[in-house]
Amino acid sequence: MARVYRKEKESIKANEDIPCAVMDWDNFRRKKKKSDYGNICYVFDELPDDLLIEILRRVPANSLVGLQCVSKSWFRFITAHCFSKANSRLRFGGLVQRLDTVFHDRIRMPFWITDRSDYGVDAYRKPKFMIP
Amino acid sequence: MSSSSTTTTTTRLLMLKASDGVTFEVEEAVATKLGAINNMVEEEGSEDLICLPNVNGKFLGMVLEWCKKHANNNTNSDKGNDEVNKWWDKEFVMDLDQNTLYHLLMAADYLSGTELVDLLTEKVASMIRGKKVEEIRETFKIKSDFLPGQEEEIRKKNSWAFE
Repeated sequence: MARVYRKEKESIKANEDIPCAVMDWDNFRRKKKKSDYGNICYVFDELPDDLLIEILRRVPANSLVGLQCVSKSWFRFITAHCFSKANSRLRFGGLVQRLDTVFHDRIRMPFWITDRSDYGVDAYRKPKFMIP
Repeated sequence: MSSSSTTTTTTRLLMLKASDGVTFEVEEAVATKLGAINNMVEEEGSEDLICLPNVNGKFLGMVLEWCKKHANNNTNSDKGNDEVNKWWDKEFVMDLDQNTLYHLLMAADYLSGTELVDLLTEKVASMIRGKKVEEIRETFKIKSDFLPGQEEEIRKKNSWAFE
């Protein structure tokens, strides 16, 4: 049994250099360059992420899903910050209050934690939001 | 020192120097609406010239204009105060083009003018809200860089959002 386990572990190790197809983190985290995109789009390619989140949290959640297919960078941003599995756990977990005390005013709270009961609450519960 | 300067009734003037060398003379009460300047004033105490190397004069001027308006409105303790502020905010963001909007947002963020950041992000969000994908691409001049088929895949996955 132990041997099987070790074998499994080895196979996982061997797989490590295969690039992860789920989320292109390298590209996402890389400093954004104007030349990456065909046109210069000030508002969306140059703004820091926290300001972008601040903007997108004012947009109803259902329309954010639609906006994923504007361009690749929008897709990356919206999937990573708005609808990823890890984040959805934060939305509902008891972490909310603890995070509130940890993050001071300078670090903005992500929008899924702040209370936006006017939109989107129902939309969050739709299972279709989960992106593998 | 800082506590005594805030309690005095005479208005103290601050000099704000932008990245391109333009200086603005503003009252302390106006400038301290910006969190960053408020901190600097409290730390430095008697220093009257504040250099802001990350902000262009044009946009600093606009930010300060907004601060002045809000500081003035807040001193008149009327009930219609909020209304006036809201109306003025609306005017302020009405004809901003995207370039100005971007620079203002960066300036407001750098100076930690939280209310102004809220106002500007709301403006950008209003440009996005209720628009179709094609309209968004048009307003922000974005080219779709998806490979053929990728976009359809995303649309299919979330087909309910496009109804």
